[in-house]
Amino acid sequence: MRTFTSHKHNQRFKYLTEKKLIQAAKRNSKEFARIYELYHNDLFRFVHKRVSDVDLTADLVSQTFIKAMINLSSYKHTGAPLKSWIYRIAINEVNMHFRSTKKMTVTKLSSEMLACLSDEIEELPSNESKMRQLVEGLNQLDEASTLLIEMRYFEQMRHRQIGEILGISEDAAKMKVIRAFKRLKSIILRTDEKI
Amino acid sequence: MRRFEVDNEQEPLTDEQISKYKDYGKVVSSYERTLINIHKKPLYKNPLAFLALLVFLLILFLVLKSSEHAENSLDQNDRIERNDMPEDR
Repeated sequence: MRTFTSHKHNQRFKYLTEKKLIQAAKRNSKEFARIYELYHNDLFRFVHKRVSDVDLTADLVSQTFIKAMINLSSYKHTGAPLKSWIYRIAINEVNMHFRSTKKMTVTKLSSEMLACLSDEIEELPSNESKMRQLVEGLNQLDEASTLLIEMRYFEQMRHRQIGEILGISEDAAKMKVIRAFKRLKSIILRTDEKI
Repeated sequence: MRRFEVDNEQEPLTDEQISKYKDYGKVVSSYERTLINIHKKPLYKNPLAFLALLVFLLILFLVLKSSEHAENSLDQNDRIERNDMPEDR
């Protein structure tokens, strides 16, 4: 009981400090440095997992913070963490990069990351070829579904977190993740039948 | 365009590696440059510049019109003079 109360207290404290931070940054753009300091490293890792190139990641992260600074005046604190809002901007920047560039961007995945996803697909025998089929399936999957799979299985995000980033409810995020996973599974099983 | 690949040799980024790319000054200067471009009013939205442009175009129009008129009257005079001249036989 005490743990629950203290967790709630921590959440409330975090919410209040974040609200103050946003208000201060809205009044004075110099205060944005604190937001930058707070979220830079996490955001860098988040973007790097998608583009697997440090220089490109640095550019996209800078662009994300510039957009956040420009749009901060119109940001309304609804209770969802500011981090989710910044991540949403980052996702848009990354997607814009994927669409605009003619060069193929390679996203590198480790076997560890893929293991979380492969455990969910019991129909396939667990061996080296399963990993290859998973990667092949991901390459054929649409952009929106890929993003959901990445957030849920590769970054181990909770449905609530995914919902906050996408600006939807927790239940809606859960449904979207399930649908994306089903889509991926059907692609993999279809290619497995062909083989 | 992107493609997934399996790569088990990739090490996770450390805080030191990331901090090399941390440059708040660069972000602020880019933000200020972008802000200037956003707030820069286009010529047609600035009343003074718009008025100056209008006056310039009006003067240009009048100059062109008057030169055209002068050319026409010269042509007409030429024609009248040619008509008045006795024909050589």
